[in-house]
Amino acid sequence: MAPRDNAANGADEPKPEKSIATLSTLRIGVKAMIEKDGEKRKAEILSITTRKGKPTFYVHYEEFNKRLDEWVAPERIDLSHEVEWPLPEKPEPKSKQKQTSKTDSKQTKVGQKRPRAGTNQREASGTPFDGSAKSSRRPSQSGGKENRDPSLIAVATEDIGGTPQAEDESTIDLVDMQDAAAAAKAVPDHVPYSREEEIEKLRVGGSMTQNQTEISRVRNLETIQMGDSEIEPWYFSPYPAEFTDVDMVYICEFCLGYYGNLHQFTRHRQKCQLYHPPGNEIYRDDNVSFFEIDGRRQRTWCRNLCLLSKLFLDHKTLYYDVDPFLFYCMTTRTEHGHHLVGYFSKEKESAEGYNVACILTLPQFQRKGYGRLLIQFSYELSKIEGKLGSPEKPLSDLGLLGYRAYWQEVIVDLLVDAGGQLSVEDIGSTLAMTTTDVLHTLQNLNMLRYSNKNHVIVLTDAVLQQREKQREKEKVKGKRFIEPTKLQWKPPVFSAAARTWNW
Amino acid sequence: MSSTRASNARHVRQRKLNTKQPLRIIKEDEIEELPEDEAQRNIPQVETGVEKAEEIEYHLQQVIHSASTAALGEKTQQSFIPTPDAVKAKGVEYDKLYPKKFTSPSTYIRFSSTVEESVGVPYCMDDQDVAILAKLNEGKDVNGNSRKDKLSNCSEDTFEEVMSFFEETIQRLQPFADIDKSPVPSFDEMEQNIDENVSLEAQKWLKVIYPHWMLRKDSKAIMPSIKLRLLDNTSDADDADPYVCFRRREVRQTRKTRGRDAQIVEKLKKLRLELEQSRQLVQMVNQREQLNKQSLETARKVFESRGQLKKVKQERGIIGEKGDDEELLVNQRPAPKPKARQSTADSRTPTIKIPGQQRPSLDRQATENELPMLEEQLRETFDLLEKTVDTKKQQHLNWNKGWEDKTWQPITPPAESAEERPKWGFLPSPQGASYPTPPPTLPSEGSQKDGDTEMPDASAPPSPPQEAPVKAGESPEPEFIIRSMPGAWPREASPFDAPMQREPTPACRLRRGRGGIMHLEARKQRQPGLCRTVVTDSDDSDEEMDDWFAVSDAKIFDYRTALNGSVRRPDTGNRQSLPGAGAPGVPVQPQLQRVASTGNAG
Repeated sequence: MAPRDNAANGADEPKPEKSIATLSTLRIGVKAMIEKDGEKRKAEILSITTRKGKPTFYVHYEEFNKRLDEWVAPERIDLSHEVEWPLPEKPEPKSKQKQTSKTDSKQTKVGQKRPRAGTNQREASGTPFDGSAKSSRRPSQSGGKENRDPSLIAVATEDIGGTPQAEDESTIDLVDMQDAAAAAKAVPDHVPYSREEEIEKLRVGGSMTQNQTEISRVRNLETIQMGDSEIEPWYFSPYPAEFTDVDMVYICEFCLGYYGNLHQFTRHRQKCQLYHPPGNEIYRDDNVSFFEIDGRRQRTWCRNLCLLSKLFLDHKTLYYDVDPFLFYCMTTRTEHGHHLVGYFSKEKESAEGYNVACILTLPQFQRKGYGRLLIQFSYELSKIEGKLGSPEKPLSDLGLLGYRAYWQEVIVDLLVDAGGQLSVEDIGSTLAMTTTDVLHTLQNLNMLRYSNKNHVIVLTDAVLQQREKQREKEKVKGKRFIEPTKLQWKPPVFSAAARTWNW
Repeated sequence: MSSTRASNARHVRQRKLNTKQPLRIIKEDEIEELPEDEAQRNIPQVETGVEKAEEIEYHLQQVIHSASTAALGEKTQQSFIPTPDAVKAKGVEYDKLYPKKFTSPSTYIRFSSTVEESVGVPYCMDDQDVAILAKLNEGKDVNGNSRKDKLSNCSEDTFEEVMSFFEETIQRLQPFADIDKSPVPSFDEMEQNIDENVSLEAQKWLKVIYPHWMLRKDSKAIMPSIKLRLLDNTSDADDADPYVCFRRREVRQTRKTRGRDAQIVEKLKKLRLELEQSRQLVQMVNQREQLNKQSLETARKVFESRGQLKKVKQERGIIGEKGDDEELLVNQRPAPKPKARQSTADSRTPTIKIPGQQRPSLDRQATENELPMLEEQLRETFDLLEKTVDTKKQQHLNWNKGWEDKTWQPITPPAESAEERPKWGFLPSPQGASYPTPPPTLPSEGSQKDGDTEMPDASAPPSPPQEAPVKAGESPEPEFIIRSMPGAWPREASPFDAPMQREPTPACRLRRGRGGIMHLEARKQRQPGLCRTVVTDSDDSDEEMDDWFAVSDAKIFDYRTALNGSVRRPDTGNRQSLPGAGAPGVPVQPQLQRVASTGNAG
């Protein structure tokens, strides 16, 4: 797949230097063609380490999700092709733009944890948005704009030092990250967002989305074992740095404690007395249960949960503590106990009206319809609260698809049942969805039309067909859904002290 | 996709979509044909909510594209976003790791224990520890030399407890160990931190395992833990460290003002006080229970001793005068019960009362105790007291002859005489100096009824009692104020009157209020004691209210009793010189107590 054309960002930008490289001159930040699934993809080298005497490269494929980042052997790098060298730090800021706007594609998210602020950035100017995340505390020596992306930052550091770090770097470790992060601060303050503002927003807004300094683009865990599953992590998570060196991290299915050593884990299992998430069960049907857990009361468990879910959520931030959140955990029951399937977190008080902060079905349970249950459950809670809810932005790719599927299903069902007339707001209030989300869905399905000088909602043949198909599927496979009558829940009330005294 | 949207968002004016307006729901075939598909116009563009940068990702685009083409009714291939693997783990003995111990309760689970409470000892042994433990249990020490102690086997649990103790202690002692590189504390230092949480079994092993822990110890905890930002460490370095997580959200500062501070101090004081009180309560409850226990034990001992005594008596054939079994069973000594009651009654009543039933019991006691001397003394005393009281009563009657106490029953005023009486006038002062003084027989909680009956007018059958006609000159200071200091009696003046003497004699009047209720009112003066009184029922005397206020019943009572007392003074000389006779209530008390104590001694 070809790299995206950056023409939109201005053709006058200087292109990064390209030339043939050898294995030994490859360094962090270099973009090379790498073989992947039988095709060549452009990928950026994020880290280099030596394994069994051979250099190994951690690469990110451009325009693919970070969860596909991986370690590759040198053989897979196509050295017959020119590589793009990272741009030097010194040259006028402009020269950066080309590169950044390319990397932008995957990195902007980093700076954009604040969705609203971020969305129009790119259109607004050719200036890379990434600068946004920079700290204003320390003016850069260079004065140039920086990417807040650690890999790029690492490049920057390197350039300042003038030494290529490539081969002799044996491990990607904490030091790297810290360097990167430190470099991240070395940025000018004429940026749309300072780090302080970021963190302030995190603090005040209680957001759980990703924080700039937390980006660590190299996955730190190899594999985790949880219950009877072995799972490859998707993203970095701040588990103890010591775990970088172990092959397998063992996670207790019930207390979510983490152990780098099998014997430790076995010992722990002999002592662990938890059989379900440590909170109150608020929903139970034949398949699943839901537990409500207060981040403040169950700090350790919720921290463990967040560490775990960070492995699979790119945009989650663990910068601040879990106190202002409630965690709704879905489990399946066996004689062993309640097995955590997925969860969503929810701010105790969301200024923006979000009814979900983070939502995750654990990978071993994905593609089984559990995600839909989680989503439906979050809306059932909103219905009881009498509020319109919406998931916190940004959504991940999978999150978007999950929500779209759910929205489509419930809206189409409602429309089919209702017939006659319905306003967009009616739909929203019936389903506890925000107007925006309703519009989004209708529009996306091409259901909002203009007919006879009026707007109409069209139940298109395609939509009805899809619904029909889905119904047939459900008949075969069975459908998972939440039965609102089995939900025993009142919106929890928190005193002012409980909200402000966080420790 | 976005570009196509952008391109047809031009020309042709359409009304904006109103989200409040009901929209017709129709099927596709009901649509009136439009030139092309221009329907999307003027409908606000909605963001996907995904990061712009991520939105363009290949797989997502693929899925979105196929979904949108499907929405247009075209056939597309189902596509999905690939994710890394999650597979069934091989070689996991799941049932062993997670035993089938769980049974679901029929009701929804309610649970509040924390992880810490549920996982036991936090330290878990790893392979190194296992090796060492094996060594230890072979009778060797950490270095492989044979152990000299006589400890047998160390269980895994004990081992972990010991290690946990070391780890937790050092965490407490040196929270900044990874920064300041403080030396590992010696075993002695560690030993000082042993508390009751460390089991005895573990304490035995501390010394043995310490060297092993020493070896393993570096700046970090042995069990890896996540990096939490230290509370007081606000350095920027942490901010950048991706491994530091779960920072505390700073509490928004509330404005600090003096008022708030004071409030907080008050709150804290109150809290402190309440805590202290509850502490004392608990302590006293504890004390009480201890005493209860003691008394139960004593009672039991007594019971047993009596049983023994009975046996002995039976064996030896000791039979009392009556010669029956009763004698064996019942305690021969004066029953402790009446004694106890008496003494409590005494302690409760500060004033004298000589109820009729008390004397016989005393008498009985005296005879039974065979202490004629004391008995006689007591009898003398009581006779004396009785006499005194009687004479006093008589005196009161005499004094009150021809007088009518208007204050005695203010509720039902005498019908006609009210007109003839002066509207107001100065109440005669009892020698000016002594008003108000405590009444001679101020009723206390325990003896209110008795106190009333002892009022001198009690014998004069029809109430209301008459008010004593006291002239200023003949109302000497009553001596009753020394009630509480019997030993100091008689005295000319008590220190207690001093403050009261300063109070001027109030000007008083009797006023007939609504419904014929009579009020004794004093002219307004700076007398806090009087001013406290609340005037009710004042509709008819608004203008007067400024100058007059009601005298409280208590004051009236005080005053009256003061008068009564003061007139008695001349009699003192006639009395026998028995101490205590002048104030009938008081001096008797110690004597009674003495009686009680002698009774006990007997």
